[in-house]
Amino acid sequence: MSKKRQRKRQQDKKFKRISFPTRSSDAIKRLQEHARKITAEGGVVGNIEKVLEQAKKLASEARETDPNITKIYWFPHDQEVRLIEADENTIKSLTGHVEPFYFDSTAEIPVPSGIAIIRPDEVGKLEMPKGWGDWENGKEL
Amino acid sequence: MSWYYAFLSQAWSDYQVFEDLNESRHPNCHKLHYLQMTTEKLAKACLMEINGNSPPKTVHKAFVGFLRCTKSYPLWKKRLGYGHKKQAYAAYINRMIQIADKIEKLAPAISGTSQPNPEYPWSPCAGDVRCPADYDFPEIRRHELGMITALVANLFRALDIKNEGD
Repeated sequence: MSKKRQRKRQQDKKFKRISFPTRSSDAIKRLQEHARKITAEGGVVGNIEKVLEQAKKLASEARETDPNITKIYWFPHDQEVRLIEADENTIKSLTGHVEPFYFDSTAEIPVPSGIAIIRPDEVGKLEMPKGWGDWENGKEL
Repeated sequence: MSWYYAFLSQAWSDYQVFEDLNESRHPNCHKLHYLQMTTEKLAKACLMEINGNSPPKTVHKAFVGFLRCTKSYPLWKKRLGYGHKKQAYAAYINRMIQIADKIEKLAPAISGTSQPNPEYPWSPCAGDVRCPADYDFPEIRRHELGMITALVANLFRALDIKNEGD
């Protein structure tokens, strides 16, 4: 066998090792994925309620400290609080996007959250952040 | 490259990192760190546009000064979409100055070793040392950070700086 061919065969073997995992590892991955889905499906309702509870807590605090807030919309997600607060005393968006600040979970709010502030007349008009869905998904708190 | 353009470019680069961190699950301190650096450099660039293109002072305070300056600078009122609404603009900027002051104080050189900052551990009292990654920064409310995030995005857009495709 020529050296060139030998090199190509070695490269092919290397490529196969990298690109194609063994059947057993595939099976483990599928099982892990299945288990994750079962856990998620079993826990989704409970988690949404937990997230909603935190969303209401954040909304209540925001209303207490910021009297210019006219409306607060919650966008349901089972792992993160997503709120858009309409505030009279904020800037009109020049970007056309809702721009949230995302918070890591804290001792006070044990789930991550994303909070965006827009003007009341921009509700339903601005482009939503990636993964938040449409304005129709929003529920007023 | 001018000082103005260099500061603006670095502010935009910091902002890109902030955006990446913002969407991540990293501790809040890292997001606040990049937000503070973005606002400082962006403000310095904007102040150079107003006051002339000379190298800025090597201090961290700039954001509050810039916002104060815009109150008497009609171009910024117009750029930020307030047109002839002078009172509404003043009310908004006054609100933003309060929040910007909190952001400015996050710089370790200003906060010192006894006040919270997003970069280095500090000690509020003897025997108690805190780490930024484990601290929730309750001094700045969530609503306030939402407002500053919107302002920074709008400041860049007002200067016509944006991502490709936006």
